[in-house]
Amino acid sequence: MTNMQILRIKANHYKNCSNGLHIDFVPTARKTEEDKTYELNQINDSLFVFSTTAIVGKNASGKTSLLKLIENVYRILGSFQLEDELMSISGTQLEITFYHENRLFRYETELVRQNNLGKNLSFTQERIFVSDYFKSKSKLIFSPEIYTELKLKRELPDNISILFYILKERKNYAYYYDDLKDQDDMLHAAYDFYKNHGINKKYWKHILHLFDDNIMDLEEINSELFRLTYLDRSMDLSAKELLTMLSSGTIKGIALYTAAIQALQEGSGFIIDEIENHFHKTLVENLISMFKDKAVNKKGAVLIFSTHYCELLDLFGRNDNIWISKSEKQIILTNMYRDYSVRNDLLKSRKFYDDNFGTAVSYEMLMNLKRALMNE
Amino acid sequence: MSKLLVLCEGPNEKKIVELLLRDNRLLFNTEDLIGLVPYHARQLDSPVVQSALNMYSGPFDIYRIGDTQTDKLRIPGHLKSRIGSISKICTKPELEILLIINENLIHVWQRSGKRPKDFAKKEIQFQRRRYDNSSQFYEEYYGRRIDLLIENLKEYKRTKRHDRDELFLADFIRE
Repeated sequence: MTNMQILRIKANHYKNCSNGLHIDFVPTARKTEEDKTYELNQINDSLFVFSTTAIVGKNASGKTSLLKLIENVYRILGSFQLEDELMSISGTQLEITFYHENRLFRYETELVRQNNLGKNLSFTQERIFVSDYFKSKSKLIFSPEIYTELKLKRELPDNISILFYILKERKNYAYYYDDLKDQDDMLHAAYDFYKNHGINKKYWKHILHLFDDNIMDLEEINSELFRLTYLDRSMDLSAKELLTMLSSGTIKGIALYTAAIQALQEGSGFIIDEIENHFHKTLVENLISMFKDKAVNKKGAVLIFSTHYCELLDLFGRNDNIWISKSEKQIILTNMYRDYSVRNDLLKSRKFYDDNFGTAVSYEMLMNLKRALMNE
Repeated sequence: MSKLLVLCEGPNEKKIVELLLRDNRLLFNTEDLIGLVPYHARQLDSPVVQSALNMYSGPFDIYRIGDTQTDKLRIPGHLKSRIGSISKICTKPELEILLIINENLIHVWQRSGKRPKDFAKKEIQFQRRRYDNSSQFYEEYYGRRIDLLIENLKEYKRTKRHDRDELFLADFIRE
């Protein structure tokens, strides 16, 4: 059975984003057979979601905020509750359209922080609408007329969403990767994925080898000690010692790939902020291609990432799964297909460099700095 | 507003342009140049030029500065609409002809049957330094004598015949 899939997220009053912000995960442009093979995951008759979605924009254009919004929506759907750690999303109005077990749902709520709930947000103004999915509705999935409101008797604490009545089981629908965690945490998270989430030993060794071809294995002997096996020797090391033996790139790579493989195995979402950070471009391309390749991505996992590197978008066969964030007075999110008339015979990276989307780094600002350095 | 992309065939052509820019003696200045500098590049696919063109997304004209310039400038499709004009600024037979003019050795060079570069290496010195085809030599030779450089450029234009589509650096001197 296909995992729960988010089809659209709409938000009002979310951080400094413009009202009416929305991001779709379903195609709007024409779908070729090749797209159905690589770019899209089929979740029902004539119903597809993107296998990969990119948010691109320059620094401070709101990419991380948008990914956090998506992560928060996955959290609500997976655990029916949400913490507001930085007191920044209270007041956000959400509308989430998702697919689950042959039915379409539209869920509305306003997140509010209440003093008696600590960091937990309460779900207010909740409404949920449902529609059985048939092929004939494939073009109407966002049309209000196909939905009927579900009248649920709420018998839950304020910090638990009524989505509990629909999705019932707590589940991790997405993994979020950023490299703000310290390396110790990353390594433990990676090892935890391997050990506790059933990542096959064979994959674990391949991942280790990919990032350091001298490493043959890494095992936890007990809670204090790891055994690191190289081609010609083994060493028993504390976690701290282990961190000094592995390069930061190796640790990040291991953490990223174990989480990616976890998502691929479960058919979950995998959200990465600044996918290009600290990795060889080939590895990034490989990661993206794994989510597109159904020989590897067998359960409909989706990759959602932000990037500054527009060259990565040349790996995308479509335009409608590329979102462009811009920070003007507020953060606005535009779609490459919907909001721009772009020729398909040019590379997407070229369109970015030609500033078709108003995302280019300011030439004037770059030259101001260069001029100052030249005149030193 | 359109900018200029100045492509110099060699480091010495680049040095001459830099010296003229530094003294503000050209009809254009560094602010007119993409990236604020001239480039040592023969083609637009040079990484340093590509990088500059990725930063600047507006229209531009190209000045190619060099001697024979027999190789055609290859223009990628995506740049075609941004390029206004392409001008050849010629320093043939070789840039060293300027030094030879300044040393008043034109007739000796003509009789020598040598390339200007080889002739200059053998015959030209400045402050006990022999010409060695380096940009540093041009810096020392003309750096504090820009008027002399301009005189030499003008004399070169007066005595040298170019093809119809070839311009002289002297054409760009601010009067």
